[in-house]
Amino acid sequence: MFRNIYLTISGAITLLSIWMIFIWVPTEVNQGLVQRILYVHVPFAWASMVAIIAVAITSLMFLVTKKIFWDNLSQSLAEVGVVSAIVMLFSGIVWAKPVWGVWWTGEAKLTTALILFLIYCAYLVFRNYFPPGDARNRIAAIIALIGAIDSPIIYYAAQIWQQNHPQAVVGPLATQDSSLSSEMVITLLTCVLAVTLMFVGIVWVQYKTVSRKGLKNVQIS
Amino acid sequence: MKNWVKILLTISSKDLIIELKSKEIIVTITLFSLLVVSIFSVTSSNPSNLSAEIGAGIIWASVVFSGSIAMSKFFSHEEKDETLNAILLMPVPIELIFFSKILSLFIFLTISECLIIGAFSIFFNSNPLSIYILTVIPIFNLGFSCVGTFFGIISSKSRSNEILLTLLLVPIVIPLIMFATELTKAGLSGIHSPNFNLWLSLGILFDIIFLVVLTFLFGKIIDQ
Repeated sequence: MFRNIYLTISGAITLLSIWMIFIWVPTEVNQGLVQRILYVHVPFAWASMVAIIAVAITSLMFLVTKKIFWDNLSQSLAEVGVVSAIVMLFSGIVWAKPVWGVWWTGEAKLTTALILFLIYCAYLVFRNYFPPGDARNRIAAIIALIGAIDSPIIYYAAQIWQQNHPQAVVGPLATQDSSLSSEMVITLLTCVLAVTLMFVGIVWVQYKTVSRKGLKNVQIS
Repeated sequence: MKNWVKILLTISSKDLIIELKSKEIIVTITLFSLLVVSIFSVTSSNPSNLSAEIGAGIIWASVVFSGSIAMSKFFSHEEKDETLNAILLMPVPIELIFFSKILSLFIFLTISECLIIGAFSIFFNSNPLSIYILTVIPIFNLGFSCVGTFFGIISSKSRSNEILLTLLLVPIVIPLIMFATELTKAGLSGIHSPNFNLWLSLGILFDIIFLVVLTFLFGKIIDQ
C-alpha cells in the first residue's frame, strides 16, 4: 500500500518536473536552451553527494554496530550513487561545451566529483572481487570511510589547482544572490524533489535485492 | 625505542634481501619505467621541446604505474609464500609491521623514481633534478607507500589483485599526484610556484592524515 502511494507521488512529481523543464520554465537569456540541462545536472549532483555522505555514515554504523542492515544499505547507496554520479558527470560535460567552450576543465568541484566517482566505483569493484563474508563487508566499510576522509583533501588540492565553477546561488551553500527567476528556482527545486524521491525509491528496491542476494549466499554456504 | 627501530629494519631488510636474490621487482620496474618514458618520447614529435606541464605529467604517470606494479608484485609474493602471515605471528606491535612494509616500498619507489628521472633526462634532453623534485620525492613516497601498503594487503587476498590495487590506490592518491606534478612542473620550467607553501602543506597533511588513520585501521583489517 505504502509502496503504491510512494510510486504514485514520485511518478507524478517526475512528470510535473519534466513538464516544467520542457514547457513551463522560461529560457535563460545568456545560456539559452542549454541552461535547461542544469535542471537534470543539479538534482543528480545533489543525489550523488547525498549518496556519498550516506555511504560514509552507513559504513561507520556498520563498523560500530556490526549489523548487516547497514552494510546492505551502504552497498545499495553506493550503487545508486555511482549511477547518479554518471548522470551528473555526463550532463555536466554536455552543458560545459557550449557554455565554457570545453568539455572538461580541472576545476575543483569537477575534479572532486570525478575522483569520488572513481573511489566509489573501486569500492563496488572491491565488493565483487573479494570473497563474500564478514571480512569483505568490514574492509569495504573501511574503504568507504577512507574515501570520505580523502574527499576534503581532494577538494582542497583541486581548489589550489584551478577555479572556474559557477558559485551556488540556490540553497544553504549559496554565496551570492540568485540571478535565477522565480520560475527557474521552482523548477529546479521540483526537479531536486523528483530526483530525491526517485533516488530513495531506487535505493529501497536495491536494498531489498542486495539483502535477498546476501540471504541466498548464506543459505548456499 | 632502539629495539623497535631494529625490528623495523630487520623486517624491511628481509624484503630487500629477498628482492636482491630474486630481482623480480627491480627488473619489472626498470623495464616498465623505461617502456613508459620511451613511449612518451617516441610519440612526441619534438622531445627536446617538451612543455614543463607535460614533462611533469609523464614523470609522475610513470612513477604511479610502475609503483603500483611493484606493489602488486610485492604483495602477491607475500600472499603466495605466506610470509606476511608468518611475520604477523611475531610478538611485535602490528604497527611496526605496517611501518616496515612502508619502508620497503619507500625504497622500491625511490629506485623506480631514480630510473624514471634518468630515462626522462636522456629521452627528453632535460634535467628534472631540482630542489622541487627533491622535496617532492620523500613526501610523495611516504604517502604513496602508506596507502599502497594498506591496499596492497587488502587486494592480495582477492581475485585480480593487480587491477584491484591500482583501482583502489590511484583515486585515493590523486591529491599527492597533483602536489608532485605541480612542484615538478615548477622545477622543470624554472619558474617559482606561487603556491609552493600551499602544495607543500597539502602533501605533508596528506601523509600525516593517512599515516595516522591507516596505522589505526591496519590492525582492524589484519584481524579479518
